[in-house]
Amino acid sequence: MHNVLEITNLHKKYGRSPAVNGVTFSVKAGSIVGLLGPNGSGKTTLIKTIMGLLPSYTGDISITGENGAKHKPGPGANASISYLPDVSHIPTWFTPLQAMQFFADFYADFDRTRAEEMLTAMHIPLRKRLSALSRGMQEKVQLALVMARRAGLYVLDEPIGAVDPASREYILNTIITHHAPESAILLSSHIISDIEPVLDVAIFLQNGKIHLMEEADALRESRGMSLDQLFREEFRHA
Amino acid sequence: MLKKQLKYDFLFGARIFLGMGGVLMGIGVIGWLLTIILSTPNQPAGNDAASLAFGLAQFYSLGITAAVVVSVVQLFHMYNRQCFGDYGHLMLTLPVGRGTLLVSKYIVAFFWVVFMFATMVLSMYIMTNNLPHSEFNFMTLPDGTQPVGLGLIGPIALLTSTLFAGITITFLLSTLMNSTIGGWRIHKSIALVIWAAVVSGFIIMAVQFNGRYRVWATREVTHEFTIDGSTRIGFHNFLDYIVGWDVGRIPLGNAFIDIFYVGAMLAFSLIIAGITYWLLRSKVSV
Repeated sequence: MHNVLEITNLHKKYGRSPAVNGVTFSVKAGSIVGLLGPNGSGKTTLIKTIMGLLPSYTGDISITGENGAKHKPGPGANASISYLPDVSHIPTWFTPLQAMQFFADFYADFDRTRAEEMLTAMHIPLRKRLSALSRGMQEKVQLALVMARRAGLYVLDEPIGAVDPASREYILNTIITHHAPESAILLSSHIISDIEPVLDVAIFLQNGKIHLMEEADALRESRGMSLDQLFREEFRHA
Repeated sequence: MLKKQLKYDFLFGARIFLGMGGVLMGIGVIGWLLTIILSTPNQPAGNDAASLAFGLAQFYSLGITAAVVVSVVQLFHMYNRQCFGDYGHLMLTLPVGRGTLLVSKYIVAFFWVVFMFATMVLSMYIMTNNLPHSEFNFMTLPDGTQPVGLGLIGPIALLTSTLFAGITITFLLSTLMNSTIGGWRIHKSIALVIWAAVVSGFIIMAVQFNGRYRVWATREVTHEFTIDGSTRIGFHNFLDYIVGWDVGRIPLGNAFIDIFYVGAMLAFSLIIAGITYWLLRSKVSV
């Protein structure tokens, strides 16, 4: 399997404070990679840099798009990355139907039928404005729209952050079942226990550096504990 | 992609500016109804009408000032919110180049600003329609003549180039506030100071180059119907003294200075737009 994302020696500073400090890793097609770390470890900064939202960085980011074309963060790469930020990024005066139309207009890989199926399964009213929906429901709409794209790479920043535990399972199932075998997922979270079962690779971030990076199964086997336990162990004082 | 971007930018703008335009038209219609109700055969034009006109002009000048201020703030807010707030995570990660994004925002902002301006003029026309001496003189030259036909090209060019320059400055300010240059985020107060300085220079330039023109918009309301017959109020003063726009018909002999003004405004706008694009492409952090 080829790499859909390659990051080499990435540095990103806020003023003089390093937020990402020499990070190097790659994401293989078909894999689910977890960016795990406590608050302030650099997960969101790393994701925003990949998405081109933080332009001033050093190092190299390469995203493989359609037909194997390599892109730097920007419009070319955005066509093949489906991004879910950790904020409500869809205008709240949109109804889910309008939001679907927006995605359909801009993303050639957006599957409207798939989005409608997901929204219906989650009992989301399609003609109600997002502002009239609960925060959890808004998150579900965002996730459905993002996962309804047939993208090469899904970048999900805290996808289960604001939803109730009952919905988390559904969302994680949605993530697993709706990504194509040739596409990859990079997701960040500090709720390890919930996302642990879906991860192929775990990257532990601390103070902007990679503290630990290994295949999830190998890590569990070598340490004799779950990723959640390991996370608590490693970041006990963080 | 520009078409799609324009579609949604228009929708964003429509939500704000259609409502504001509706309020302005409502003010015009209410004023017009008041003139009908209050100007009965038993109350011939005279002091009563003068008082009414004075009141309406006061009311309207406040409305216009509020509309202009709110329009500028909304323009700023619309651009800022779409590009840099939470929605920036959506807008700046679309497969659309930053240049396309910016061009779309300029076109849409210009459209809505012109829409607001046209709405103000129309609303004023409706309001003054029933008043004595009610011919609507939006632009009257000092010699009392009206610009018609090709003579309108000059004032329209002056006005639109000035409006466009205002839009580019507003967008630059917003972009500057969300940019990181040399590793540092520009403090909002610094951006505001820069904006204030640029706008001041811009107004001085507008006054310098257009001081010889006079707009006697709603001349009857603002001039003839004042209580003491001498105080000028309303839209004319607003344009003349606050914004610094003195827009009038271009006399053929003075066309050069107008062309120079329009050219300067457009060149200024292009430079500002270029800086904004550079910031948006390489310095903006969301």
